[in-house]
Amino acid sequence: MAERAKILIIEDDEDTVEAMKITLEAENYRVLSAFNPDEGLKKARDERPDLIILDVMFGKKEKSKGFDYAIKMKQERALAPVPILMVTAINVRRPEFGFSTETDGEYLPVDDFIDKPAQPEDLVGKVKKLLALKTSRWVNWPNQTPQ
Amino acid sequence: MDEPKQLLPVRDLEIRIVWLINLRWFAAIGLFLVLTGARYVLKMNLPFLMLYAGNLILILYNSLFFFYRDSKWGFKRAYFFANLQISLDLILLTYLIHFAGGYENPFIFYFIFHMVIASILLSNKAAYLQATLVVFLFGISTGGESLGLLPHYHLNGLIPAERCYLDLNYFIWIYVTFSSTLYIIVYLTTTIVNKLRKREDELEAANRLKSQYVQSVAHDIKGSLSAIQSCLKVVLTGLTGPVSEKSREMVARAERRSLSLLDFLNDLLALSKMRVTDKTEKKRVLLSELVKRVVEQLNPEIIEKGLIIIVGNTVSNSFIHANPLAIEQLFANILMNAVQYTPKGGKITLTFEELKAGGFIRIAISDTGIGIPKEVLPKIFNDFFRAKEARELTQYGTGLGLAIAKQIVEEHGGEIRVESEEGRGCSFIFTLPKIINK
Repeated sequence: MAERAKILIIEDDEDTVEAMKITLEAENYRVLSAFNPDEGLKKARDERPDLIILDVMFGKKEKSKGFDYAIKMKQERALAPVPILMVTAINVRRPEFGFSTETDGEYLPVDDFIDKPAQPEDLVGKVKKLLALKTSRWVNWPNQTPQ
Repeated sequence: MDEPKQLLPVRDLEIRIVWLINLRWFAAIGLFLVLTGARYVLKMNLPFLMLYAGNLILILYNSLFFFYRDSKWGFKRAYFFANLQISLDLILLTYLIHFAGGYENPFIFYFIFHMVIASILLSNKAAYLQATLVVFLFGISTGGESLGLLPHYHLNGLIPAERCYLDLNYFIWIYVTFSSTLYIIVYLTTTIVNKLRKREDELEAANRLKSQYVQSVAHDIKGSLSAIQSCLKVVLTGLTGPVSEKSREMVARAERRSLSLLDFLNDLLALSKMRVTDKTEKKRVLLSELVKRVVEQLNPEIIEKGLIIIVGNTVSNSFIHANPLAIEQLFANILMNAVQYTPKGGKITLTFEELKAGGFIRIAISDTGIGIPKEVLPKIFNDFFRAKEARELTQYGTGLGLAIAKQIVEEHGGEIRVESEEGRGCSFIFTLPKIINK
C-alpha cells in the first residue's frame, strides 16, 4: 500500500483547522497543523509535507502575509516543489479583491485557491488534484516566467 | 488656491461641458433672433454683417466642440477645453458688444454670468484669469472707442444720440465698476464653491470611514462564521460519527442559516470594499463573451423554471472598458433577480444599444416577472431594501444585490435605472463605457 500523503495546514483559526483535519483524515491523509506562519515554515522544513494548505491572512490587517510565506517557501529549494493550496477568507470570484484564480492568480506563488469556509467536497477535490500534480508549477519562483 | 481638491471631478466637468455646448446652441438662436429683430423691427443702423459673422463663428466653434465631444476627450484635457470654451465665449461676446454699442449695450451684463460659470467649472486661478481676460478685452474695445482709436457703433434707435457719453471720464467710471464687479463675482462664487466642495469631500471621507467600519466588522464576523459553518458541515457529513435524525435536522438548519448569513456578509464586504476603494482596475472586455458566461452559469435555474432568455445580437463585437469580474457580478445580480422573480415559462430579454453621444453602451435586462410596485421603485437600489413581494416569494436574499449593481455601474461612470409595472415585469437599464477603436 502506498504511503499516506502528508498535508500541512497552516491556519490560525483552531476550529477551522479541526474541521479540515477531520475532513482530510476521513480521506486517509496524514494531517499536520501549525497555527502561525513561522511555526508552519519550520514544520514544512522538518516534515516535508506533500501539500501545504495555507491561510491567506494571519491576524488582523495582515492580508498578504500568507503570500509572503508562500514566496518564502517557493524560494527554498527543498520546499519549492510542494504544491500550496491557499485558503482565502475572501471570495476570489468577487470583483473588489485584487486577485482571482483566472487572471492574477497566474502570477501568485500558489497552485490553487479555496474560499473560506472550505466545503468538504471542494477541499477534498482540490487536495486530490494538487497531490496528483506531485510538484508545484512554481519550482523556480521567482526566476521562472509564469506560463 | 489651486489645490486639486478644489477642482471639479473630471466626470462632472465633462457633463457640464456638454451642458455648455447645448446652452450655446440656444445662445446662437437667441443671438440670431436679437440681431434680426434689431435689424428689421427696430431698424437699427449697426454693422450687421460683422454681427451675423459673429453669430456664424459661434455656430462654427460650437459645432467643432459638439463633434469633438462625440469622439471623447482625453480626460486630462477636459479642463483645457472648459477654459478654451469660456475664453472663446468671452472673446466673442466682446466682439459682438463692440459692434453693437460698446458699453451702451445692456448685454455687457452677460459677462457676469460667464464669470459665475467660470468660477464653478474652472480652478480658482483660471476663473480669475478669465476675469482678467474680460477686463483686458473690454478695456481695449471700449477704451479704444472712448479714446477715438476704435470706431464706435452707436445704438441708434435704442438710445438717443445725445445720450451717448463717449468720453474718457465716463469710460473710466464704467470700466472700474465693471472690472471690480467681475472680480467680486469671481471671488464670491469661488469662495462658496470651494466651501461646498470641501464639505463634499468631508462627507465623502465620513462615508468612507463608515464603509471601513462595516468592512472590518463584517470581516471579523465572517471569520468566526466560517469556522462555525465548517464545524457544522463536518458533523453533517457524518465524519464525526452517527447523528440522530432529529439532531441532524437541527444541525442542518443551523448550517443553512450560517450559509445564508455568509452570503449576506460577502455582499456587505463586497459593497463596503467597493466604497472604500477608489478605482478598480479596468481593461478591454468583450461584452458578448461575458454575457454568455453569466447566462451559462445561471442555466440550471433558467432550465428548471422553463424560462426563455433572449440575448440581443447587436452586442457581438462591442468591447467595454471595465473590470471583468465586477461586470460579471453586475449581470449576475440583475439576471439572478430576473430569474428569481419571473414565474415559470416567463421571458427574460437582454438588449444592447450603442449610444451615439458620450461613448456608452446601453444595456436593458427585462423580464415578465412580478414587477415592482411604483411606490417602492425609488428605494430599489438602497442598501438592504427588499420589496414586500420579494420577501413573500423567497426568504433568501440579502437586499444588497442591486445596491452592488448600482455601485459597479457608477464606478464605471455609467448610470442605472429601473422601469416597472407591477405584475408585468421590470427592466433594468444601465450604461457602460464602450471602447471605440476596436
